[in-house]
Amino acid sequence: MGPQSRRTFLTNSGVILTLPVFSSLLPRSAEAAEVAPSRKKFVGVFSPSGALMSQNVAGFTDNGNWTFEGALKPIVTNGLQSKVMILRGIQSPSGAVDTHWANTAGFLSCAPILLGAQRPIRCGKSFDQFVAEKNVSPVGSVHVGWKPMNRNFSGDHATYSDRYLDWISWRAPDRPNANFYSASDLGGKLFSSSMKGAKVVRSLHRSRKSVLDLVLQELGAVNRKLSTADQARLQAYTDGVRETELAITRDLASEERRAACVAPSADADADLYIRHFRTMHKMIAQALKCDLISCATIMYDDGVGDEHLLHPQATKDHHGYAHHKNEAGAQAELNVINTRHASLFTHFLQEMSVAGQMEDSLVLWGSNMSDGNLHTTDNLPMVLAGGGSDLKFGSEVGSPQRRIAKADLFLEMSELFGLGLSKFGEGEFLSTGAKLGLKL
Amino acid sequence: MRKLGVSIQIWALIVSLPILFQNCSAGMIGFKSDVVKSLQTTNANSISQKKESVHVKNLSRFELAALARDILGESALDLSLVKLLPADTKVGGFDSGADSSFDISQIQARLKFAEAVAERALRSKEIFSCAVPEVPDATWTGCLRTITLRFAEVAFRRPVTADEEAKFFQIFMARHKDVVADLNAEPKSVPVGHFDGVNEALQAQGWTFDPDWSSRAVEIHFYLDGVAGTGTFIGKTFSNSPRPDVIDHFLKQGQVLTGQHGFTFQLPVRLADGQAHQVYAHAVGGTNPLLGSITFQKASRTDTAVATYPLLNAPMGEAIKSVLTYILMTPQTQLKSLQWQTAIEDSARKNYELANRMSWFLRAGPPDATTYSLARDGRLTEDQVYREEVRRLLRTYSRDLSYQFAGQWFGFREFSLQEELSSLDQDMITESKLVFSEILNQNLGADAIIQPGFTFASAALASHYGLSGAAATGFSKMAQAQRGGVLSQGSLLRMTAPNQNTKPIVRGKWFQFNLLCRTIPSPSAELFQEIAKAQAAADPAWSVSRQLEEHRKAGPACAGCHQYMDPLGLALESYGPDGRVRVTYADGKPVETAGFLDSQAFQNASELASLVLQREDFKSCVARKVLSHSLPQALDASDDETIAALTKAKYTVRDLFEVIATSKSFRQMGED
Repeated sequence: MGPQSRRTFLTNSGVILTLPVFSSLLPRSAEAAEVAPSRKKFVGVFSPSGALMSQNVAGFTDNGNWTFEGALKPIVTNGLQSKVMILRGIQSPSGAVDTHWANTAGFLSCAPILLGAQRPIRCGKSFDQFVAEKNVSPVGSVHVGWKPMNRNFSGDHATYSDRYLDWISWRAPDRPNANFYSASDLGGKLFSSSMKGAKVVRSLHRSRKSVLDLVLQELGAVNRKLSTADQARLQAYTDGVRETELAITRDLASEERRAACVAPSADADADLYIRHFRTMHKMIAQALKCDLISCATIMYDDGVGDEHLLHPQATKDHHGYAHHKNEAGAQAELNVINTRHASLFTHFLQEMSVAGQMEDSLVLWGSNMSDGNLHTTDNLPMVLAGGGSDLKFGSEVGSPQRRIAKADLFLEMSELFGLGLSKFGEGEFLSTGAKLGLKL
Repeated sequence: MRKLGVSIQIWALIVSLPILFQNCSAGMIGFKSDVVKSLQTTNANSISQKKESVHVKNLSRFELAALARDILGESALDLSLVKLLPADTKVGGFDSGADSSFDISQIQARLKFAEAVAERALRSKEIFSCAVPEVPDATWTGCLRTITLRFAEVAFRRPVTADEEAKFFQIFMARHKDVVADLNAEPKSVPVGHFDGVNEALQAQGWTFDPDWSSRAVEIHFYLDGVAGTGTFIGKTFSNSPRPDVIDHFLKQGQVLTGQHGFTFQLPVRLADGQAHQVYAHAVGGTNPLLGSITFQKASRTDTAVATYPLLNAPMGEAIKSVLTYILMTPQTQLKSLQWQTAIEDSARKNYELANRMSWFLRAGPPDATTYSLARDGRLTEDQVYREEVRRLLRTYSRDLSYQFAGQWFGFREFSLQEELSSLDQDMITESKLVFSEILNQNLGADAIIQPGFTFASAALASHYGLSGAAATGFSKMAQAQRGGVLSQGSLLRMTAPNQNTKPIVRGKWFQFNLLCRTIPSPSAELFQEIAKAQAAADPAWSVSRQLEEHRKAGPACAGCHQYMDPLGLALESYGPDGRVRVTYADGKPVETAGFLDSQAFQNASELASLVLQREDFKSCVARKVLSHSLPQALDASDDETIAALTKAKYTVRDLFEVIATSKSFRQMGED
């Protein structure tokens, strides 16, 4: 039995998900005996360019505090305050690398990004992926966004890859998870087996699988002597094709289970941007409920925030308002955008609650910087949502005066998931072991 | 700021240190100075070759779209195909040496692209110029073989081997068997559809699909003067033509359809006899439902060309689609070089490698039929043949080259991908494309990039610019001193003014990077305290020019970069965000354009343009861009000598392409 058929056999027996194919996916050895984890599902939610931090608080000058009275108001008005805690004092290093790029790619990874026009992209394995590997599910994780960053001309940030602005999830340091930008694509991925026309999808999957299998054979047969660099290119193509083929195999193998999970109806809000994300929220909540996935990430925009639809009367993009220069008018506009994102986040929590998913999930919402005007990264705007009586939901946790590395937050959260990690992050982003104190 | 129609985002582009300009590209592997030698000696043979280089680049998304265009025999690039794929990495500002990261999303996107092209091929009468049988021919001869081999030869850009062909056949047979089994295994569902009518060309038209399997072709049978069983059978067809309205209709009802659902059937000409006839259409499947009947009475039939589509039943169609998708996903298609392939003899390889390399460089596409046949005959490596071929490509494909080369350099290619472009935007893109291709056609020097002395405009664009004399339709070449140069092209001015706000710093930075090949480092996070101070001190009542000036005074950290960017951007403030000339802002304040380029003073954009023309670094930058576009790797310091020689020789833009393409090092690139 060759390697191919062994893989197929394992697929059929449902073992495929734990079979290491890439060294990067090898299971990590558990470092300590854990109590039964209280959380199994994780969703990371991202908004770019920070927040207006000192809103509506008279005399408040310390940069870096958003409150339930300000942009977070929709959480309160919808009665979800008891499911949410505001995290204070979380910080990320602000080195020489532009934080738009560094802390978008590193939002859930806490690892530095590699720069240089010709280098491969690299960050670090993100928190959601540790959770997804521990809590195996047919699809694993899904990732959604608004649209990818697409800049017209070169010259600005020439050594940066713009892809760092598009992704917050990394299953390995060199393997980002791309977003779904269309609700129908996400629906197809998650719910096609339960939809009318499932036979088409199955047939298409089989066709794709056989095409990719044969491409792999073709790649395997290359025997010409090549330079190391050329071999690496061919290997990269081979790996990509193999991973894609595996994903299809996984979809086929889990068809029966997926067929029982019915797609939610699309949202009908008149605003395209709102409708897009509300539909995505519903799908993610449903997929979590069906145990099709254990993790998701949601990016309300790319890491710069060049979207204008956020605010109906906007004349600038989000990024333009984030650089408000302390002008009251621009700050008010930014507040509108922050509030809009808070409303979306609230909608997601509502969907999670209706689906009964809050109790064993944690949902983290935050940004790549705190003050978008100055690109600061101390006291980041962060909220953590979920259920259960063991954590300090309904309150503010931490203090702006006591800085805690973002990686320490993830390390503390990892205990709740029983991930058995002794550290999180890399380089200057690495965890120190300090605790914010999430538990009561 | 909004009122001024200008926004100054000083903080977005600040750098931490007084600036040291770098070269345009910092890279790994150098193009040896052999171009210089080939310039100095006509027979150019004293060249050492790079030993460790990367050849296995992949086709970029634009290159894949160009390949698809040639495979499908279409005349223009289909940007909707380009948009299926993520943006490629660029080396030295160009994606001609793309090293795309082959993650799942990239491969999935390429797979979707391949399926879309295969799907389109299935509807092409050009490709299916012969009749496909209803069941596979076990000996793999005839129509299918011809179609597949032709498709693969264009995709692989070299002859297809017998082994490869055997694989195509194997895939075809396996997939055909699977689809037949699928169709037999599933309980037959009842197709839905409608018989819309009979047109003037005596064609019966309508739509139908299998609700459980919308992508498979449904067979439709036609009967005369009665339903199946009573009427006379007159023929059959398959649902195989696009009906986007049907897809839309069902999408609104929550059902996603894939595949083609329209049908067209040519009724016998004898029925155009002035008598009334009734035709019945049945879809085959389940209960073989009647899709409708149409009564018509026609005395004649117009012979106007109505689109017809190849007839492929479900298993044949699906099986061919899989073969074509496979061909497009093979490394032979996806990877640019032939270097790694063993399917081709070394002696023949040289010819095909050269055909590929020159074609990607000079026509931004795979070898055309002429280049390909020269390679096949082994003649392309003959010096005179090759040189003439270089000239022919430059003559024939100047517009393609303009779009891919100048379009990437000046940004209008990416601009053309933006959603919701207005027709004026499209005209601006066409203007940019035509101006550069005219610079090539007329064999003009680098100066023409800045001051061509002409532009191309549609009536709408000319009116927008305030020019008179454009023809009512199409684009006219207009003698024109103020327009046509890249700095006054609408496409650039629009792109550098997002949200109807001009951004002088962005324009200044663009200018430095693209016309003088100077890289201004990106800002570092530490500088933001400086910015905060500068912001606090700024008075909103100041003019744009004053705001920028005050900011430069804020300290050497700011001035270090901004002295190079701001004045250039300010000169271009005389063009509003829509590309029109303006002398005042919306609030009535005058536009101030005076400044300095390094130490040389200018009063306005026109004087700035004249200053640029006198500069060696502009000329060398043009050479650098062309050289960069020709290579799969970034330039490095070892290329400086080449660039200096190219600059010194004062080549026209077209000659730069020709000299590089005919240099020995380009011709022998990657050879062992």
